[in-house]
Amino acid sequence: MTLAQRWAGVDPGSVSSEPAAEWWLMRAGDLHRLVSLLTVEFDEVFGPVAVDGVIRVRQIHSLADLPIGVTEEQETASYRLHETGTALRFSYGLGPDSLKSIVHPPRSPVWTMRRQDGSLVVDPALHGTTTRAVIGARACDIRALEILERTQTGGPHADPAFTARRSELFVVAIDCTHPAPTCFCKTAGQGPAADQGFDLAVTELDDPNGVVYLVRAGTDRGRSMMFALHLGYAPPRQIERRTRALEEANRDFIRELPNDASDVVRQTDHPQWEVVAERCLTCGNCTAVCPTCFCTDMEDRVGLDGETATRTRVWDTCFSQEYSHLGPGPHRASTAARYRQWLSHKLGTWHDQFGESGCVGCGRCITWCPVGIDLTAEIESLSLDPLSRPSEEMP
Amino acid sequence: MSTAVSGTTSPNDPLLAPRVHEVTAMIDEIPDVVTIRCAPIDGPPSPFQAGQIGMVGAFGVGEAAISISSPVSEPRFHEYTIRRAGSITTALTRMRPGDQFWVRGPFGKPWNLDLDGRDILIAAGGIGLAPLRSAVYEVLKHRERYGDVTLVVGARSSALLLYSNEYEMWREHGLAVFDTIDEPEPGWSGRVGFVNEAVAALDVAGPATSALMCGPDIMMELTAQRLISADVSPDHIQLTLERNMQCGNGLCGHCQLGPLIICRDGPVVRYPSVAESLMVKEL
Repeated sequence: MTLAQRWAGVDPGSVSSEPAAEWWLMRAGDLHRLVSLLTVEFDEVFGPVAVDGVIRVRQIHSLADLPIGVTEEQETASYRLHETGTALRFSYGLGPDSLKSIVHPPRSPVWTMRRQDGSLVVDPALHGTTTRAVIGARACDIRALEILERTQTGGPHADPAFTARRSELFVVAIDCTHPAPTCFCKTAGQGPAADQGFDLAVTELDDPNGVVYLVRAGTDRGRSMMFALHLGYAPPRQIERRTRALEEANRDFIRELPNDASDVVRQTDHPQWEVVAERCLTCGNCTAVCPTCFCTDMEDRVGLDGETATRTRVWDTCFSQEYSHLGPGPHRASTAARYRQWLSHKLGTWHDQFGESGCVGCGRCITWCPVGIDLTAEIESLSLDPLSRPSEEMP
Repeated sequence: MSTAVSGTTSPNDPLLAPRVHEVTAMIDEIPDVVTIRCAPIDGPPSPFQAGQIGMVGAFGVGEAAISISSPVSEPRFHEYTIRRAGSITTALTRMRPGDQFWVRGPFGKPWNLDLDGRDILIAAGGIGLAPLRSAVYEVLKHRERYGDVTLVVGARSSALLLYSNEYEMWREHGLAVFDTIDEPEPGWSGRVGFVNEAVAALDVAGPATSALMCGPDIMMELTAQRLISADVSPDHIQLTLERNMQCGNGLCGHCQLGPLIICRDGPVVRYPSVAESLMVKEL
């Protein structure tokens, strides 16, 4: 029996909002052992990987797959990786991928349909028992996972594919000690430290004697894993250093989400929608990188022999015209209407539909917008009374 | 947090598992509009409530959300009345008896017909009568439960009046049918004008009346305003909405209208929940 089989029956337990009493200390070698254990116990392990000059979330097979000594600079429409020469493995802000790509992948098979003996036969895609773990999840993305989960499982029919991928996901969180300038989790969500929704949470600290990792467990199965690694507890001095590091990280957020954002975005006739539409390319980058944007399309493709057809659920974007297509044509033909749909849904009507905001303040849509549209700036503009705005013609 | 459920999907999950149906008859209605009469190949048709939708799919082409138009009490088949518009509806309306396609559902919120003792006004514009037809039959089946029951149906021309060969039968069963066309035409001696105008000409007993509507957004908006000015309670105006639907389960985002996800919160909604949204262009 593998440990994964053993754990399959273990109640994940209630997730405590308080950190567990135990704080374990890991060094790089212990982190290596943790990742190795994950790869043994779970069918698929995901983590940060530097590819094509970007830190992505990809399947990993050992600690060596993770970046080391790199950090990133990001701002509106800009993201660059740099070597730092340190031994730190998590000292960078968010890349474009969130946990969405694991639990709600860009393409998900739904069924295959075939003609057989004059009749149509449907073979639904089965969502197997593949077990998955992820290391490196940030607090904002854990919060986003809960929001995404509500959209996909909170209605009359839960999506079984999502449920299968989500329910047993083992989450190793990394406390965010290097928020990017584009982030605003402090006013939008949870962070920079993870306080719930994880099996294990790790803080990485530079130390004169080498990098140390402080670990706490959020669930019984996380705790079991710590015991399996025979780790020692962390000294109070390291826990104090962690507190200071997180206070530092939590200090300087340039951007913020105002409390009245959900009202501001509901002004359907505000002239700012037309203003932002002059810049928006309707490319859909923002919805692709958003950790909560869940929209999908059903893609039906028929084989060349005409005898089989496959249906795949694929990511879609409310920025495409096809998204709102109805008999006569697109319902939201203009860019302004499509940008308004995105922002007013994310921050406004999401509350009506799912009882919360759809934004966690990760800032990805700001970094990855090719023309540098910043939703916090848009909210600021939408907050201005259109009648009191100074005319552009005035000197 | 997450609710642990089985890692495998049930073959009965309506999101994934379509029921293969066979066409038993194709009925030409008005130009470009066909009714598909069909039944599942694996058993009796799925039970449904008037106003619910099926996600109706053509092999290898795709699905469209279509209201079930046949009587709820009909045990042998379902009917879907479809206008030929895009590739999916073209494929569906080209089918012949014996052809197979699939249906997921039924999904969505139905017409509320628990309206005992009340007058019912049904207002339909064009093909908007299709989502109302099962309600018409359900109301007529229980005709004694209701007060006056009236149908106002409008179309651009007499040739575009949907199900017009059934109006006489409906009248015989106690439905007052008022049909109207937009423009005068040779040989037409009936009403001329829009649905909201025909409604205005009726003597509507406001507070005792419940209305069911389907048609173009503007027709529903004008008719609702007319009814409200005749003292019909906005809460007693139900309407059904059409938006792009992909999943039918509130999972894919496509059919949003402001705060509503139409496939989950509708397609039948009460007027106050959409009154503001319908006024906003491209919402």
